[in-house]
Amino acid sequence: MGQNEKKLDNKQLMRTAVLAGEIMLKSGAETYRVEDTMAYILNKSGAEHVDPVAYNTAILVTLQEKDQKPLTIVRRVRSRGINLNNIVGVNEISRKFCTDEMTLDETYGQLRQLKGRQYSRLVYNLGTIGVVLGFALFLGGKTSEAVAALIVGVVEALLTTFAKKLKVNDLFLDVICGSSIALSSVLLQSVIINLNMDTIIISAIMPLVPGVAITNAVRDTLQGDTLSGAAGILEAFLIAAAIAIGVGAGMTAGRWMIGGI
Amino acid sequence: MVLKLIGVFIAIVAFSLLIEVPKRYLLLAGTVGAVGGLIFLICHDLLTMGNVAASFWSALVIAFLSHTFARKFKAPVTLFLIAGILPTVPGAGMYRIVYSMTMEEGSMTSRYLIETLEIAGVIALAIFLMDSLFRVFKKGWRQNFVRS
Repeated sequence: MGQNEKKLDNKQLMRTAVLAGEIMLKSGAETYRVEDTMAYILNKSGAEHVDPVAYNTAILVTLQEKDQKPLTIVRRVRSRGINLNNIVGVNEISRKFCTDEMTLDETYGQLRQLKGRQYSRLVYNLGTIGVVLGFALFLGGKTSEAVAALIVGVVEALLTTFAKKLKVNDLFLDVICGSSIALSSVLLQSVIINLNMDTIIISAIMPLVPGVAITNAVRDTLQGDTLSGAAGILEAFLIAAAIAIGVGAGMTAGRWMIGGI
Repeated sequence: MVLKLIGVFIAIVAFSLLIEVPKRYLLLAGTVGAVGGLIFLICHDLLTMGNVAASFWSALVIAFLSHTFARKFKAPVTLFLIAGILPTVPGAGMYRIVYSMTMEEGSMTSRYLIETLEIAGVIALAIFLMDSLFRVFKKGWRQNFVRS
């Protein structure tokens, strides 16, 4: 009976660890951090072998007690976004679990509740506009640039909201956003006198640039996770290429339209 | 200068909203970014360094601050690093590559392409340096749970 209970416990422990790992991976954590968190949770079992492995797209966990069959869970992780709040949340919950402030079931329950977004759509949109406006000022923009940045930021925020509703592919969204940013900047330049179009476009692509992918890729590679690191660098290049294609197309279209008028 | 710093602070706090940084860390993330922006401006405008060198020093200070804040406030480094590193990310370089491409200026395209890759490499180097340095001084996991 005692052994039976312990085995049940291990299964729940595995479930908790994989759930924690899945949430972190979906929230855009580095893979070494995902592995570490799962290892700390699984080590509470005192099992002989504990091997959590995380890639950008999947989690594999094996736990083996002495003289027993190993338990293994494989979890495919498809959607990846960025939600640092979830990463901090999992970090805190697993820390509490490891210092025995929380039981296993409480931990599992708390992790389950972690899946929401913290800020509303409106705040998110204001954030997009804020980034564009802020960078326009940082890059030396004056009043006319600030006004133009505000307009382009609103266009970008509306597009993102609309695309999220339609569940558009992220890379495609980057192309669309890039082209509409460039197009509206070119058109604004023909309306507002002395507008520095470069500043506006550079500021407007800042919310899209693959900063997260680059940072994570560097830190993953550094930890020896070359596979995830290489995948991250590829991701960064893809995003950059998508933005570039979009901006290029938008500028060409804009010039053509102005030339047409 | 002051206006630029206010701008970069707003930009980083706003970007932190996009990546769902918890409310209590928003202003800290903004501070990291603003200091990074300040270092960039000092290096670039006052000391007349090139874009690449200025990006390196700025990224180095940002990585240092992120690690310090992460230890002080017991939060993952990524929280401050991803938001803070944004002012140095070569968005301008990416734009100039595309611009020169659409203008069919091949030599400018390759020049900006190399510069952008250099900046990306230099940011990686700065993060790498600080990660390695802080790992040397890392204490047991109880103080610093889950490699921050």
